[in-house]
Amino acid sequence: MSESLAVAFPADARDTTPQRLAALFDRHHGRLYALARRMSGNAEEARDLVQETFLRAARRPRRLPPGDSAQEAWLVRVLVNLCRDRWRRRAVRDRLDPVLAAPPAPADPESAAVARATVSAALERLTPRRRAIVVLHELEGLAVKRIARLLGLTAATVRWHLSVGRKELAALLLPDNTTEPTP
Amino acid sequence: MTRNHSHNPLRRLLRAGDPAADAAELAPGERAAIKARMLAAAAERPPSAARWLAPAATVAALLALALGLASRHPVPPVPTAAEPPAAAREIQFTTANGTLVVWQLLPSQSS
Repeated sequence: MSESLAVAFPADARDTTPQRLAALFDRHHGRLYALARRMSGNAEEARDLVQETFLRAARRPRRLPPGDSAQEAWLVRVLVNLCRDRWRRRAVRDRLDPVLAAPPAPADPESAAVARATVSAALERLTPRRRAIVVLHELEGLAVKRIARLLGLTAATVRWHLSVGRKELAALLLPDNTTEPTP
Repeated sequence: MTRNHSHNPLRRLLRAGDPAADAAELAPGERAAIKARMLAAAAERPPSAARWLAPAATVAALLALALGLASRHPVPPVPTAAEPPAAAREIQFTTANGTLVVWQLLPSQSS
């Protein structure tokens, strides 16, 4: 995550003027889209997630906390919650139609596209919160404490999700399951 | 913040298949469209005064109705206990030449 995001928000965050909302969008859309892309593994769904997150901010601007980092955390939580809602709906649908639930089988492990599809499919198997934690730590390189602040969790909870998530991913992605625990 | 554990095979595999590696940013057109929708959604929200105006007007109308109904059926006055008349104090004395003087001290004027 870019450190420039930590710059103080230029005006009262609760102000609902279009300029302020536009500034909120400009500041956070890139970061949210990258997270959504990793959370959903699908460009179209990622775009929908980002749009819905910002629409929620626009409809209920008073819920936005003051301060840039608090706003970033608020937006990330909304996005993760939206992922969770979609994941629950999909879980119901998959229970009804198990054919749709089958992950795509990689044809050529050397292909970058197949690698992305494989990782996306594996990440999709994790619960949204766990997926968010794994993505933020393993792909975005955030520290556990920072993830805890972003998602409103304790560091211990983050570490636990990270550990379980790694095991789940290793079982899916590493044939010989050679993952080693890392902080 | 970022630590590189390239020796971690799981991390290496995840990063090799990072779903955001090919398209980590919104296209400018998509960005503009989402921003426009967000600003339109914000503009659709009624201003805060308007949001309070409707319920306040309803409450005021209901109050007026209740008061109107109450005035049509006047409540009979509740009989109150009559105040006991304050007793006037009287001072009588006779002067040296035999005149009887009577002073009546009324409560309202005695303070």
